[in-house]
Amino acid sequence: MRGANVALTKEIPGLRTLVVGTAWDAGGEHALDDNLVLAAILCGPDGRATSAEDFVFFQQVVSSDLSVAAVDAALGDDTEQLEIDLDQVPAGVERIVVVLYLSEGGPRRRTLGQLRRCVVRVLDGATGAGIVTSEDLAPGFGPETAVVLGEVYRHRGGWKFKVVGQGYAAGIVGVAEQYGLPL
Amino acid sequence: MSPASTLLRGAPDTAPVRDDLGFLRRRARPRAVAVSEPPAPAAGPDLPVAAPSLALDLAPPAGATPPARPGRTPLPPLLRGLPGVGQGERRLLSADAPVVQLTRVQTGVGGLRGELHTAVDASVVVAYELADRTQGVVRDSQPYGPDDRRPVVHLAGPRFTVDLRQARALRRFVVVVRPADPAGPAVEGVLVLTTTGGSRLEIPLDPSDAGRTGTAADRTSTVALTGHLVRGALVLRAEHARQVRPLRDALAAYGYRGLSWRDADTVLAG
Repeated sequence: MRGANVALTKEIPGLRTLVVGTAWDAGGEHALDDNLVLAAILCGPDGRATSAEDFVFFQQVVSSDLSVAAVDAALGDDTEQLEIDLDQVPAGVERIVVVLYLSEGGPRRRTLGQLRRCVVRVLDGATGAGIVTSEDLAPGFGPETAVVLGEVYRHRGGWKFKVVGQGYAAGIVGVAEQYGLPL
Repeated sequence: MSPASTLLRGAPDTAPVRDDLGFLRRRARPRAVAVSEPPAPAAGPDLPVAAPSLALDLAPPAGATPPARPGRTPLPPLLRGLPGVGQGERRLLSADAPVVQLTRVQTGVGGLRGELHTAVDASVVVAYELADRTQGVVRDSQPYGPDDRRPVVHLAGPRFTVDLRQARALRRFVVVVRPADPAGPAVEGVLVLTTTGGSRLEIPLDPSDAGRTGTAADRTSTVALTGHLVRGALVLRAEHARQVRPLRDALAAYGYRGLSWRDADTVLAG
């Protein structure tokens, strides 16, 4: 459910490595499939990124502190995954925002509304055990070209995960503006 | 050793071999194929100390003490020394300050768009080299490179776009501006580049023909821009160079020698 949150480190006290994955079904639309990108934004206490280095995606696959990485080959049923080394996340990072967006550099324009299915899930990176899986977010998408799938955030000395599912009609540019990411 | 060594789980002698760290800035999950069903989380809170699952052994070996993890010093930036361009900033790439280096975010998000603004009849040609070293040219008669299914570069009249979703597949490109009139002077105008973040780079094209040395039959090409992927960041350089010679030779001067030519000005369609 959108808005639902899970106390990750409370449920699994020794949790060290978190995998956030997403699986989607583009219905065979390669222009949609090819251009979807999973990314993470590392945000400070004010909810904003501090530099372009706080964006982790295929072209910048590890954050400068090495705590968050875009994984080359996803595990299990996910299409794309991010790996978060919770112990290594710098103290100044309060939340890690997980974004799925359409990169609009090709000649064909697509929207997230064309997705037939889209879920986000969280796994224990050490065991591969699933911790939480979202509902299918795709029915809520329309003309948007970016969506904040969820957030991993600090809470009382531990970490929680929240399903967000907030779409952005302005795409990654709108997300970047929201989270102070310089483009 | 390297910062990557701190990524190893467990003591160096006993930790499982991670062969996915060869390239320090990439991580893969080599055991992905082993997954059938995730292990049932039956152990509940005891999971982290349970024996590692056969399917997914990324955990420390049972009994191994994880190394202490002092705060890790962030890696120094990979890229330094070249000027960047801010979001929404407008910059003239003059002969005195011809170079800009995009951040890796600017290099990978959306598209890099270029447009030729000129009052004369002219055409834009973009030659490119992919990461696998194959080369190609997009021009009016062949506007998609390398193909129209998923072009890395595509051209529409005076406009071209580099698809940055495919930045990892690209090594470099060069943008050449040519007058329609073979005997005409170099094109006067401006090549304008815009990034997804709204940064605008302007490259003035000088029409003067000083130093023209070619024969009258040679069209005057202006090599307006080169782009190179350097450690994941796109470096853009205004070349301010005129080439009074056939396109084949103008491109060869910039290292594009892997192309087949029907004649000195016409690339063989791929």
